[in-house]
Amino acid sequence: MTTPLCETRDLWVSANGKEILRGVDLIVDKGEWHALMGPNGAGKSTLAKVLMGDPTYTVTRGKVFFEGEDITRLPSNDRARRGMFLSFQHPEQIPGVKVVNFMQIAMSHRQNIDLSMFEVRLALMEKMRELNIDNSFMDRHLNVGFSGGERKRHEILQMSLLSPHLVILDETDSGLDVDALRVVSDGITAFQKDSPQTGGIIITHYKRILQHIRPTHVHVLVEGRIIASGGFELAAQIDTHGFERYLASERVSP
Amino acid sequence: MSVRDSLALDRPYEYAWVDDIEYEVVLPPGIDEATVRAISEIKNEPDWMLRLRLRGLASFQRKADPRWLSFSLDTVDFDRISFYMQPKGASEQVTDWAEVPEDVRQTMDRLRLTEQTDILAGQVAQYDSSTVFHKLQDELCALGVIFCSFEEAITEHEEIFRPWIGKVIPPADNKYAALNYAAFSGGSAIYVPPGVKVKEPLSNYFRINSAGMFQGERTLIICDEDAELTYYEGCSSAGQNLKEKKSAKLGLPEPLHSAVVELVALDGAVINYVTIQEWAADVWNLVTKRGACFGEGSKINWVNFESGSGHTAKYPGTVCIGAGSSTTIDTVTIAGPGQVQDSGAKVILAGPHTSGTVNAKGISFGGGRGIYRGLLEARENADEGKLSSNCDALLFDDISESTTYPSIDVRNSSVHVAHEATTSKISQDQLFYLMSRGLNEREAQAMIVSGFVAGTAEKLPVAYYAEVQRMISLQFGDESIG
Repeated sequence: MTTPLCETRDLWVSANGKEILRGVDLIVDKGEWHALMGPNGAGKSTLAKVLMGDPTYTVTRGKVFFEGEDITRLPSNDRARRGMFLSFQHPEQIPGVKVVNFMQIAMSHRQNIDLSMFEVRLALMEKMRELNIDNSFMDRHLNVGFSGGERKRHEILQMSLLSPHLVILDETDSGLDVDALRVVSDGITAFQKDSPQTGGIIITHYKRILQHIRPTHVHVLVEGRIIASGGFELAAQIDTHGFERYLASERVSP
Repeated sequence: MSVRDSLALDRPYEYAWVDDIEYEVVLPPGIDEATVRAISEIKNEPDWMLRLRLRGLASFQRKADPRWLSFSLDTVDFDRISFYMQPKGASEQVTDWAEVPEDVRQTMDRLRLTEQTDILAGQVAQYDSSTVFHKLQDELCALGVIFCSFEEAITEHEEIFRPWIGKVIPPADNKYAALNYAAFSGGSAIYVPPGVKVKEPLSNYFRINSAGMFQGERTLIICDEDAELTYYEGCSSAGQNLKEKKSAKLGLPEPLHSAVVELVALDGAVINYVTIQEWAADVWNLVTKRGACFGEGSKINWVNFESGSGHTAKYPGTVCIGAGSSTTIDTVTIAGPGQVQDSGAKVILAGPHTSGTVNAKGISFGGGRGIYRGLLEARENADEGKLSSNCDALLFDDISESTTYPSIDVRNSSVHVAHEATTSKISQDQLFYLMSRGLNEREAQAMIVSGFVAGTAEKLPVAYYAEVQRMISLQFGDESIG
């Protein structure tokens, strides 16, 4: 059996003394796309941030593996350099820092080679065209004054340029109107096509984006545990019936 | 330097090396009339200059240390500091780096000063008490621009400079300005004739090599009618980071730096004055810098980046006298472990339709203390004047300090005044966002700081933008990691 791309083993996580994840087991292989669904407060975003190494959270039990290595204690920047990418639900504003300057450093780290400003601008322009982003965007300050749609497109832009092996999309579809959702979805599907080896974890409340992205697996996370797993049909069920049947219940096999 | 290295914050103070040079003249420690007379004699000064020095000495001896300052000056021991150290072979007449004493020249090489000579309109370099090099482009000489050591200004161009010495900062202004009057050595003087616009910067760089010494240069800039000038000054010293201060190791007093800078703008003149201060952490930096817009429609703009020195007291100021004259004062101060940056700005409107704008940005981390002290003043004749100040503080942690003492004194009801102050803290979420893209913690911090000061950095001449980026990188040191 080959090594999974990413794996959590009995992962327990707490923040400020509160237990959020209570034994999450998840295996993502190369080229697989896993949708993670669940009610608010189930721990979906926590799992996304813990996978990326957010120091706000403490892993109290269990391990995270990436490409066969235990990365449970690794700082976020090392995870990024190994090829993990998190698209944030709420990307942070960094006043005064231009997108292009930020991407120069980020891309130079990822590729482990010093890229010139010219090279970075060229790379940005090409991807921005695909994502229907105006050229002036790269001289704007990081997420400052961005609309909801611009923030999400910016995250997808970064994803496309940092050639990750694993992407975690945390509610990339929330807060987008139909047109913005289409642009973002197209960006993700184009990325999927270009990077067939890359695996993904996509957190969402809605089936709509999943119809574009077509996850190979769907999981339901409730109260810090995965209580149901299945294929795409599970997402359709949830879309129709909601999470009610999963609440306060034991693990169910649909 | 590579793109990524330029943001790495884990390097120690870069300019710490010490030159083992010989000194031609070292005055015994202490400051009294004999010291002042000795300095004046070494410089072959006219009698009026000596008398001015002695007036300064009397003021210095009479004045007490300021009580409002946020740190104590009790440990500054004037009796143990040497007020004059002249490196062997140094001469302010030298205009060719090859003639500068070898050790001094090597240091100037390492400070990348020698490579800048051709791109600057003019350059002066000072080492301890002495000016060791000066040069001005031939075409500017031909246009009547004067850029020389302060000593030469007194002896060779008395008729131009003497009337203005002390017009902006009198000997009794404050104790440390008075000390400068008494014991100043080095610095430079600039005169730009009417209508001459100097496109590239004129620059002076100050280097302190010895612990236990006083460096007190004077700068006097006169821009005549419709003349324009950008002046840049930089500095560094042979200290260490705070953990191993050189002077402490040697049991010597810490170096004391007390400059006096006077700017004079006549009708329609524009003076841009840029400082990048990178003293080592053992330097006491107690300076007085002030400009006067005497002329109608004249402008004085200050841009200050202060990252070095353990104790700084510095409040660059402008008095706007000529109708329609204006000033902007932009400052960035970085206070790290053990550092107190007591700094700010003063704007005094003393004429109709004058205006002054202050933008102050303070960064405090690792227990550093940043104090902004500002004065916005409008006198009775400042009809339709405009005053505004904006102070933003960025805090890294709970052990660091940011304090603002704004003072507003407006005596004319037609003056428009605006004052704003904000304090923000670097959030864990911002750091995580940047680190999730591959930046390590220090790079992430430096990026946030770079962004915080970007608006001010963009006001610098292009050549110095990179220098500020480097300064930010250097400043954070290894203490910044929690």
